[in-house]
Amino acid sequence: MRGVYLVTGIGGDLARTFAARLWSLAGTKKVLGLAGPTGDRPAPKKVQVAEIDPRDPALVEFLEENKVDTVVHLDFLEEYRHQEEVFDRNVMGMLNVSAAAAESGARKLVLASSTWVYGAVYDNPNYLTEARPLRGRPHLSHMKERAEVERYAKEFVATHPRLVTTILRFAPILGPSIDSPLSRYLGLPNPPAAMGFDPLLQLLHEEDAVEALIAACRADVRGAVNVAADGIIPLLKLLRKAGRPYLPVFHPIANLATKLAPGFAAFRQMPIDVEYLRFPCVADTRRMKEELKLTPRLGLAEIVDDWTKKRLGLVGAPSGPAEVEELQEVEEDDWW
Amino acid sequence: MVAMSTNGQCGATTAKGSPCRGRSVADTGYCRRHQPPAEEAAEPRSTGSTRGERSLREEVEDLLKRAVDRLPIGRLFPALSPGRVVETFRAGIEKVAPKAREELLRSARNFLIRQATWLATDTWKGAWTFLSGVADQYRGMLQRRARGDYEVDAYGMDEEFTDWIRPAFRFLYRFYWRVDTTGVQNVPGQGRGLIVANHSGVLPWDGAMIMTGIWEEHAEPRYVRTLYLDWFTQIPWVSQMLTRTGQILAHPENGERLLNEDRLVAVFPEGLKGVGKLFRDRYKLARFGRGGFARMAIRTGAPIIPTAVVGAEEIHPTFRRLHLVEKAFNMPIVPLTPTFPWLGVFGFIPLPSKWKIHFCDPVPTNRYRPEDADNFLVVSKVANQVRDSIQKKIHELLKERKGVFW
Repeated sequence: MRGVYLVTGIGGDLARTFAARLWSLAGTKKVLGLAGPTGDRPAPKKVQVAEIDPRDPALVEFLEENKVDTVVHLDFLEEYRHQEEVFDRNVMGMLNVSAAAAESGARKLVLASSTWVYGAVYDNPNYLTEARPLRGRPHLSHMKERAEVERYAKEFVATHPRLVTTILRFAPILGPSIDSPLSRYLGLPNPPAAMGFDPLLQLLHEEDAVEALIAACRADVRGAVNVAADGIIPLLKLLRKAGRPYLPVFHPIANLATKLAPGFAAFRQMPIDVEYLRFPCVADTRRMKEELKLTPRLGLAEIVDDWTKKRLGLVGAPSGPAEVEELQEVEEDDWW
Repeated sequence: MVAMSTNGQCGATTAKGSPCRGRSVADTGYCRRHQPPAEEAAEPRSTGSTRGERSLREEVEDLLKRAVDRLPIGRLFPALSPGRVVETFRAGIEKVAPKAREELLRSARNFLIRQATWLATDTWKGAWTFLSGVADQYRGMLQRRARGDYEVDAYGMDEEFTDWIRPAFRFLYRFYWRVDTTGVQNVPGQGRGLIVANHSGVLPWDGAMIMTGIWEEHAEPRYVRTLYLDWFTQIPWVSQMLTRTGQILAHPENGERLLNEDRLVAVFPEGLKGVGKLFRDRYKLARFGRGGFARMAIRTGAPIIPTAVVGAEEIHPTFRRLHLVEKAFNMPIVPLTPTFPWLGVFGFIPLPSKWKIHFCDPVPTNRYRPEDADNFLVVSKVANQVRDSIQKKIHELLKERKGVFW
């Protein structure tokens, strides 16, 4: 039945904002949520959270019972080191959710991924289209799992033509309330930068990431779509703009440190592979504009500004869902 | 004898007999042309009387006093106050033999009069204001850039940075390699265009000189986006520098995107085979890749401008290549040249050969359909036509050239 949505990973920052925002779509009848990836947060308003694990095969019956039309899978944990449980959630969860969506007769499946799956490789063209092979050879486990999920997704899209599957490849997301690998990197006391390299980066504001998910629910686009704000920013410019004192490190040393020696404080919490500090991984967003019909509202300057303000504590307690709830109450009541 | 003029005019009369109209140099009463040395020479040198010497000494002391007075150093260092300086001078001149004394005084006087401009405080004040203004501007720029307030285009080109380092390239272009550029009118001032040139000289200086040539000589100066080898992206600082100055990785997708945006693109289809050429093979064009440049031009309908560069082969004459070292260290070229590796880092300094760059008549590609880009026969026809015209022009330029270094 049209207008029934299931959002997995409702404990995540993006998923909570998105689930609340789904009610602004015309024809929304019901928004269901699945707990995860970390389940100790209260459910957003007007979202019915079901006590079912995304890895449970009984998910098919749940989808059929509720006549779910669109499944949005956002259950993904970004951990640096391999943990069996996280892998299970990230990869096996995606396999089960996609299989259940196909089996239950849902119409649409939306998956979230990252443009970093293309990999930062020395001979990357300046703009990577969706058709480019995914060549990343990541060391960090969340990037490995993203790549694996993408491999399965590609297979899945080919074998299930009836189900409209959209894979949104987000550029590194920054924003006042979201926790992403890039924001963790920028938040390090001295973010390490590869000496003599200044790769070009793309960014995406969390609001626009939510808009992209909404647009994917609205328009039927098959396959992968890159989502990024307009323009590129060199890494060093980003670090300077954000006011972060960076630490230039000779890249073989940085590589060695991330791989072998977790004793280096600068690298123990390094959320980005060193390759991404050396080579560009910039996605072509033509498909986003033409097929998804999405134009990101916030530019690079605003994204960096928002993040910096939050870091300096210039904006109030950053919690997206709470604010969204208040906002909705205001909308419902006659606020004038 | 000294006809002091009151209105700042020169007091001398010219050879024609009319009064000189030049402005007098400070305190002398004469213009630059009619300076006192002539007057001194008129004085009989042999006299050297004590009276003449004394007046000369007084004059010098007076000039010295005034010059030192104008400088603010006396206030800082009492030893350099006008009175003390004159005392020192007087004590010093006493020690000089009487014969040499007059000569010394005369040259001291001439020096003080001639160099009045340099001894004036205002000159130094002006210079200081100018220099500190320039320094302020640079400091402001660097501070602003350290805050991240600079703009880059969609490919990472930093125009401010490029403009800032351009004088270095201009120096190389004008004075080091004395580049003669001809046929620059064949380069379109607007719209898309693909410059295809021969590649030589180990380091890609030829690309930099083509870029500078178009900026310096073209009626409508524009940036050239050179497509460079993917190996360079892996070298620290080099990759950063190339991106900042607007060069882009050689990839068919990049080339087509740039041409579709109506930019001027330069490619070196010989690639590594061109720069790694041995000296005995100089000016013999290597294989032009797989014709990718022609495919790119046909698909976008961009005119190809074949370009011949003569002189770059001699900047690093390669006698031998160390293939074993290349393989061991994953380097594309390790050459043996007259300077490298014998002189260490100085081996990277290119030799100052005389360069000639010629932009040949454009080869239009808009009579082909974009689909023809997949037809190898068409592609190879265009590629060969371009290659032949470059080889022909190289031979012509070599004949014109008198020697390697002039």
